[in-house]
Amino acid sequence: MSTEFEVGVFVNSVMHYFETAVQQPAACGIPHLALRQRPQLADYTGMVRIAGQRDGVVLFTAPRSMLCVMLMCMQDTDLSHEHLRELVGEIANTLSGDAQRNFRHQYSVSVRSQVHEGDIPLVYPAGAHPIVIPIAWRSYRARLVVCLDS
Amino acid sequence: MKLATQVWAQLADVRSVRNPESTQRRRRAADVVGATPATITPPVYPLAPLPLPLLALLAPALAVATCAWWWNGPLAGGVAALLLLLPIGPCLRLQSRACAAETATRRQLHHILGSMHEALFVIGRDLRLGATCSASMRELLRVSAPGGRRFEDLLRPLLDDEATLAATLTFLRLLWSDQADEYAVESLNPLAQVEVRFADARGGGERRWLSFTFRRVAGAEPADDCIHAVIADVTDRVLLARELEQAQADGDSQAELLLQLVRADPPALVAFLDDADTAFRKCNAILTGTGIGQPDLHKKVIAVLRELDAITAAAEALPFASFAQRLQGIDDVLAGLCAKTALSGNDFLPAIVRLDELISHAATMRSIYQHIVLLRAASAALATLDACDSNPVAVPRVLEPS
Repeated sequence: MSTEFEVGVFVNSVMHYFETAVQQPAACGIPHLALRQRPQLADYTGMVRIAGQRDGVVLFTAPRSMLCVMLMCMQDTDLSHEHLRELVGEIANTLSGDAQRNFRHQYSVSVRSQVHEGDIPLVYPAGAHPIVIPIAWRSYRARLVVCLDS
Repeated sequence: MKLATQVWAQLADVRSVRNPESTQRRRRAADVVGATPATITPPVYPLAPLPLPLLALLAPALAVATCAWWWNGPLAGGVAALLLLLPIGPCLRLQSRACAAETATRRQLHHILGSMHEALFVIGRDLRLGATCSASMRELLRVSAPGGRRFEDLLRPLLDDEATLAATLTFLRLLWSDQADEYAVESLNPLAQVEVRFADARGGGERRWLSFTFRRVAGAEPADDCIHAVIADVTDRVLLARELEQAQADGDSQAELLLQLVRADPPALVAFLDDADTAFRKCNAILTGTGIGQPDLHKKVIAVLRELDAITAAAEALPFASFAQRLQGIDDVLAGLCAKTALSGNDFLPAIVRLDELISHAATMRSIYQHIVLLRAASAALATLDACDSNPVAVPRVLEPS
């Protein structure tokens, strides 16, 4: 399975989430590699761990303000910490579901969790460069980080 | 494919049963095509076709019974009526059994069409799709109501080139030809394995690989002839085959790379790897920079191309085929982006993946080279020790024998 195809599946998954659940499309920025340092995480991060033919992590990280506006767009008035965690968890679930559907023979998408920055130390596969895909929605910026070993 | 074969048989069974209701249903489905979202033929539960046959049996029986009553009295009339009406029971029973069997067959067919992974449908002589198709067709081709649509219209948005579409239509017309040998024609199928792209609203799209199989089926009458088509999603298979091919190529190139590194001039190699590393980091920095307008995106593509040009020239000067090959890959992707009028962030994904591959490859080269340097140093040290052992005069003696 090519990296391009795999990353494409995750990007489409996030874009589709914005189109359907939030009902306002997001734009995909120019992807780049996190070479010198680890990708910077925002306030809330949803994480999907992938194991199998390739190991790695897929993260969706977004600032609190963006998640609040997303919830408002979804007609939700509860903007509590737990609810925001649930929202990034839901996005992680979507990523996980799409990964399972597309890579069912190659990978087991076993763990998914939502973390608040600093809660859980993130472990990237050794020697792999995370691909960072900026996600622009309204005036906010989120990031999708895909890091799979080769 | 085994399941598909069963469905062909089921279809053939159902088609052989003449049912005026199903004909009307098909006609109605064709009339309202486009409006009906259902793509699966719903099960038909025919009403017992009693009135006409029953009347046909009852009328002469009643007439004979009335005559017998008139001539020989009520007893004879009753007996005559009873004798004449007796066969009606078995007749009705047989008819209801036939109806039940047909209903069961249709229900089974409906179940198979609803549960199979492959998309199965029928193409008519006018190259339009029949109303009968499996439920997975909606998922595989991302269409809501394929029944009655022209096959050409269904394919056009999925294929990148018109040539494949034209070849497909020619192939189907050839398959319809009575003179054509079906098995000979089958090998010409241009859609045996085809890459399709499902466009999305964002201008991007999802790539999948589909395999189309066509088979002409002769009906009881020429009007019943059709082409049965099966579509299977072979994306996993294609990607795995490519990966295997890539792994084999990588295996070959690793051995080749090792030889090239052993033969390479050390200062030139180190300088090249340093320059390449700097250039790749610059490329990544250019892509990370701000600016998302179309002119900015085009400028970024050109800037990255310029950075890579110098490395390409250096790689060609040094005999590193694997490196040059990877550079050519990213160069092709960027050249493709230059030619596009409207760029999006998604378009850069192939370039960034190739850049990552290049960086990893350069790191592998450096690592192998460092191992070679260590091995050379170790072998030099061993050679010195061997030289000392073989020439003991050179070594100062500490103890002289008395």
